[in-house]
Formats: sequence, structure tokens, C-alpha cells
Amino acid sequence: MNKNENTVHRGTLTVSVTSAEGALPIENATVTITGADAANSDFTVTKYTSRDGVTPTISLPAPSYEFSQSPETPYAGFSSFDVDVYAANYYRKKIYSVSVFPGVNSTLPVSLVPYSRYVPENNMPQDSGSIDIEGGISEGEK
Amino acid sequence: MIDFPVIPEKIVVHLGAPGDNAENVTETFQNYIKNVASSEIYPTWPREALKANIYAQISVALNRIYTEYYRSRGYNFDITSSDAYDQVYVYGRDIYGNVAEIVDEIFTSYIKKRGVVEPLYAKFCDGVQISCNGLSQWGSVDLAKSGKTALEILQYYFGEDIVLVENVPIENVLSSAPPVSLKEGDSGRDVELAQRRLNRISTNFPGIPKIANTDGFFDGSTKNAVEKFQEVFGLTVDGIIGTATWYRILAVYTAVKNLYDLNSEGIRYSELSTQLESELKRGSASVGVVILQYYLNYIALFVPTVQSTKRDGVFGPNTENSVKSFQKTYGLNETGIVDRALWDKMQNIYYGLVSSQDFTFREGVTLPYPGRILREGLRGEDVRTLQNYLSFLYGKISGLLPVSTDGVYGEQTAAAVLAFQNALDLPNKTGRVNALTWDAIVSIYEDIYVGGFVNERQFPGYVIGG
Repeated sequence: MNKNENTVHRGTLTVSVTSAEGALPIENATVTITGADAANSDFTVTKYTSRDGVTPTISLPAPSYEFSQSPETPYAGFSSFDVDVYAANYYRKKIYSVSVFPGVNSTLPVSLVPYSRYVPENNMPQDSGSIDIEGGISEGEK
Repeated sequence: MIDFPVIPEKIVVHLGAPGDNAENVTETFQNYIKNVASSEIYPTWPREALKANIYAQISVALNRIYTEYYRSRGYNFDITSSDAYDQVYVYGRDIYGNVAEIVDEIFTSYIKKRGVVEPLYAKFCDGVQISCNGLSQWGSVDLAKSGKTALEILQYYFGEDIVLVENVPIENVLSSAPPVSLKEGDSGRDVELAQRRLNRISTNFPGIPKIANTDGFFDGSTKNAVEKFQEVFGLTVDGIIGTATWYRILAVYTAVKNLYDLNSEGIRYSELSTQLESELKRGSASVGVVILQYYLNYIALFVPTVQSTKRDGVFGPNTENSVKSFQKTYGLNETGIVDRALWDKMQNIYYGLVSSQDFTFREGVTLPYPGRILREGLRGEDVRTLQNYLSFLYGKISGLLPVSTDGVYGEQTAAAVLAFQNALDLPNKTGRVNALTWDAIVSIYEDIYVGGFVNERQFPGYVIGG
């Protein structure tokens, strides 16, 4: 993709961080967005979620509109970013290849699994620690 | 098989080809379609092309559910995430705002052939690398650019004899979206319902200001709440409740209420013995199964690969699947049998999730149906409880009458109950309280009561000292 194209066109991304199927917003999560394609390889930005669990709307570079209007174009119709989400007391999560199109406002819903703060009476190790969501599911990969 | 297609509340998606040893995840149907649409097509395409493709995606999913395509073959999911078998679904992916709004508007519609009931298996492919006897995704872009509507595009690919079925009922939902958008200055029952739901949501999402009067009049404070809701949930911010905003409010409200209900219920179970008496497996029916199903559903709320189960106290295939999904998630053998070790593990995880929440539990505010129909001539504590609820609601929803809380079901109470039944347009307008009326009263009471909790730093809906 051509860098000039990149500076002209923008799309936006809002990251919404919750747990319990969207019922509990997570405040103050750290959301770091880094470029995942050649044109944005040095791009990085960090935002924090509000008390409603959402980041501000983040403007991101995107390729020209025409590249997503027909199947055969020289460049991909979207730009790609990786998103790392971290909040105290929750398992960290990374989402790969989030795509941004010119003029489109996207939302990335991120559902986090909480750490256990419960210590069983019989002193067994805390079980929630063994959740392996990352290993079981390929997050956002296409 | 069900008689007529309904829009399911949730759909279980297998993350792989049918025979793959992959996990299942449960999604609301609305979110599932948003995900598929964001995975299958580009959001920069013309609106009519997007709509045509989304109608096809909805129809494919509903066809799989309606015909029980996978379930009847012994699988424990409704559809796969594979485009070789169904349509692409990418767990946890980003959702395009314009696509999501179209889905919120049309997810209660599907394509069918004239004269049949079944949703069309509306096959599609990209039309470049793969062509098929169905909709071409890239072809739909060109047709839309030449001025064709979504329906015309669908007719072009699937024949003139297809029709769109609209406003299909949603499973477990009695209130479909009002036919016209609600805006400032409007009034009525739909406005009132939306106001109560917004207040309930804002108890969990404190950036949304409280609506001071949930009296069914769409005032400035309602508009503020709608705008903030739209901002938080990525909708077009216009302060108007159209179909998309209506269904998004409903979806968030359902999630918030579900969490609240599961939390309140936990208090009841905490008083029961939580030791496992004997192994639980297929065919078991005991208090143990009730608690097991509760643990599973609670864990499923937080851990996406654990499947929820029906809460019927019977250890059937559904519960067995749920137990296996738990075992799979935590790296255990998928036996489907709950022994002491598994029970303890499940309990620890449950307590872990409860402990992780910062919420302060408010004592369960409502009581279950007393088990007898309340009518004129009766007296007792259950009558007094009913009167307390009705007095609380009086003045907060329109059309109600005042009632004294004397524990005697006289003419005045009967009139107040009838007024409630009329105000909500319940099927039985009798002035007597059966389970349905009781649950309706309790549900609204709870919405208004819980919806009234004001968080720190939250705009309370009125000016303090004003």
C-alpha cells in the first residue's frame, strides 16, 4: 500500500471492554493498538476505557475507498491492526488483524474473563488461573 | 420441529468444520449476524448490497436452526464457523458500525420461497474465485451500483418467487420494536418501556444519565440518556429510538438483567448445602442438579466456551453438553459426569467469579409468586406485598390507581390491579393476580427499583437542590 494514500483516508475504531456478556463495563482498561501491515508497521497508540468500558473514538489510517469496490485491486481494501487489552484483575487478551476501512466506524467488542480473588478453604490452588481462552480460540484471526 | 420460524435468542456456533474437535461458543443471534456480515463482506459497499447479503446470511442461519440441520445429525451446535459448510464467523472480531446498524434494523426478517414456510438456504459465494448457484457477493455490489434494491438483488439471484418475511417474533421477547421511531415529544407505553430499560442499563453503565420521570413522556432527559446510550454502543447519535436503537437497548437490558438475576439467585443457593451428596449424571434429578445448572450458567456468563444449560432440574442431554464444555474448557476428560472433584472445581470457579466482582449486592427486592391467585376477599402478607408493589409503582407508570397497604384485597385493590393490567395490556384483565400478572408487576417493580440506583459521579436525572 502506498503511504500517501494512507495519510489521506481514515476509519475509526472504538474498543468496548466488558465482561458477563456485555453486562459489566470495565473501566480503565489499557488498550494498545499497533499496525499489523507493512504500511503501518511503526504505528502505535494507547487509550484507556471510560467508566462505560469504551475507549474514545480512535482515528486510524485506511487505504483508499476504491480498493474495496472490486475484487481485483493492487492493494488490500482495509488496513490491519493488532489490539492488546489489559485490565487489572482480568486475563489479558490480544486480538489480531482488526480491519479498518475508510469512512467506516468500527467497534471491537472485547469480553474479558476475571481473575478469581477467592481462596478455597482447603487451600487448593485457584482454579480460574487455568483458563486458557487464548489457546482454545484463535482471536480475531482471519 | 417448531411450526413457524422464530428469531432465536441465541445461537451455538462450532468454531471449525462439523467433525473438528473445536469449541462451541454461544452468541446472541443479533451479534452472530453482525459478526458474519463483518467477516463475509466489506462495509464500504453500497447499502443495498450490504442489505441483500445480510438477508441471505440471516436466512442461512435460520434455515440451519429451523431444519435442525446439525442437531438432527447428533451435533451439539446450530451452525459452524466454516465457509465450506455454512458462513464465516470469527470469534471476537471487530464489527463495522454501519453493518451493525443494518443488522439491528433487519435481523427479524428472512427470505423464503412463496408457498413454503422454511427460511431459504440462501447460498452465496464471492463470485470471483468461487461461483455458485446463488448470490455472488461481488455481483451484488455491481447490481446495487446500477440502482437495484436489496430485494431486487435477491430476486435476481434466487428467483422472482422469493419474498421477505418481516417482523418475525423473537424468542422469549414480547415487545417487538414500535412501528415508528420514538423521539422527543412522543409519549406512550413504548416510550415508558424504553425509559425503564435505559434506567436499568444505566445502573451498570454510569455514564448514561438517569431519566428522572419514566412516565412515558419522551422529554429532554430521555433524549440525553438515549444519546449517551447511542454513543457508548456505537450507534448513530441522534437521540431518536428507531428500530436499531430499540433492539440494542433490549439486548443490553437483557444482559444486565440476566446478570442481576443470576447474582440474586446465588444468595438463595448459598443457604443450601453445597456438598455433593452423590455423583450427578444423565438422568439425575435432585437439588444437586438445580445447583449444578446454576453454577454452569453462572460460569457460562463469564467464560465464552462454557455452554449454558436449561434450568429444569433434570440432568438431560443439554446439561450433559454443558458439563462437557466445562470439562473441555478446563482441560479435563469430557465424561459428562459430575463427581466430587469436578463439583469442587466448579464451585471454586463459581466463587472465584463472584469474588471478582465489585458489585455490592442489594437484597433481593422482589418475592416470587405466592402460589395462590390473589382476588377480592383475601387477606394476608402476600396481599400486603402486592399492595406495596402497586403503591411503589403508582405515579411512576401512567394509568395506575392508588392503593392502601392494609393487607386486605378489597374493591380498591381489585381496581388497582385492573388498572395495572389495562396499563400493560396484559391478556387477563380480571382485577385478580395470577402468576402472569404477579410476574409482570414484580418485573416492572424491579426495573424501576434497581434502575433508580444512582452511582457515584452519575447524573441523577434531576438537578440537585434545583
